[in-house]
Amino acid sequence: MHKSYLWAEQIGQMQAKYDAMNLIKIAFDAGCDVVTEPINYYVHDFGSQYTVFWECLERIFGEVAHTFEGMNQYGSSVNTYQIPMPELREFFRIVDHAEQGKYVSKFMTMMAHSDDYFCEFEMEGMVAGNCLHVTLTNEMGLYAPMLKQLVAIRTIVREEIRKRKRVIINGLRNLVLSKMVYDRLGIVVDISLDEHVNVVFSRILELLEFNLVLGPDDAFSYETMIEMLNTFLDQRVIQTNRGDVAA
Amino acid sequence: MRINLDSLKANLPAPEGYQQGYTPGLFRAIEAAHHNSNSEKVDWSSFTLSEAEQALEHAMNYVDAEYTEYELDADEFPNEGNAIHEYLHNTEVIYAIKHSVPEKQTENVEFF
Repeated sequence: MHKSYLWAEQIGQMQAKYDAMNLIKIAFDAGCDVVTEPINYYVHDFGSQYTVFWECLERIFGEVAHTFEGMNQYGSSVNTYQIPMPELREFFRIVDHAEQGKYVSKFMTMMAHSDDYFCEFEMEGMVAGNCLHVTLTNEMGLYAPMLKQLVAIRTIVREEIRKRKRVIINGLRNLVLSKMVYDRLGIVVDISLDEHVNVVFSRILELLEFNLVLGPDDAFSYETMIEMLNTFLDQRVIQTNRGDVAA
Repeated sequence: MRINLDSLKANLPAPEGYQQGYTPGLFRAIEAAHHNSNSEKVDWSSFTLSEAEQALEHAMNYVDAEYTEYELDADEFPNEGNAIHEYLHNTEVIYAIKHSVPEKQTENVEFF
């Protein structure tokens, strides 16, 4: 068995190619089509995987702007990028004020990354209203871990928007259901808007002396609930009116 | 020439402890880096990002031949256990087997 199959120069090229392969995998996992619109990731030497990084950055985030290219006072190359993330606008509207600062510093910590192997290769970033401003210092290093952090930020933003929208929708549905009961019967249902709509619906049915217990995991569409509740309320109102007539 | 995979398998040594942590996906990632340069030829679902990262880590820790040849003692094998090294080693062995000429040139010569 050979002790090593590769010379130093070949290893540099190999490492760059593994980095490029990781970059494409990140793009693929982020939902980019790298098969019908292939990316060539042959890398001639270490450092040239930058072109793959740029290609993946644009595919994932859209029109990335290379805003600055130059040197800092220590003679290191500095590149800055403006990475569009329109989701941030919605995100900052949906999270409350106290949390905004928490998220901004969390994202900045995620972007403050220095390469494990090439310690002079560093990334840092700032969060703006609808984009990220990212600065890369030096050029020699692994790009995949940096791209991974940027994608991770977008994933958190998207997840959080989805989660909070679900909460809002759930609350609104509870509101509509209890308003229906109030309008028709004049009864205020004792519920919390944070409870799952299934639970609230069960509570309302219980109030109408109809036994159907739903848990949060039961697949019961909101449209069906509205329809059922309408029918029950109609029946209830008819019964009540009859009682009035009899009296 | 035929290679009897069953008897080859029976003669293989038991995997070392570290090798048991190597997943097939890790080697799919290594193949993607060594045998392809075009993203359309790779099955990107055949390995996870963490396996690709693991492959990159093995690449970063691979020790070059200049160093192993001239700087190390004969009994030092820094690349032993490196998944890329084992992959390259196996590729070479399989190539050697495929291209080796059996001693007796008959129809029924079977390796292993």
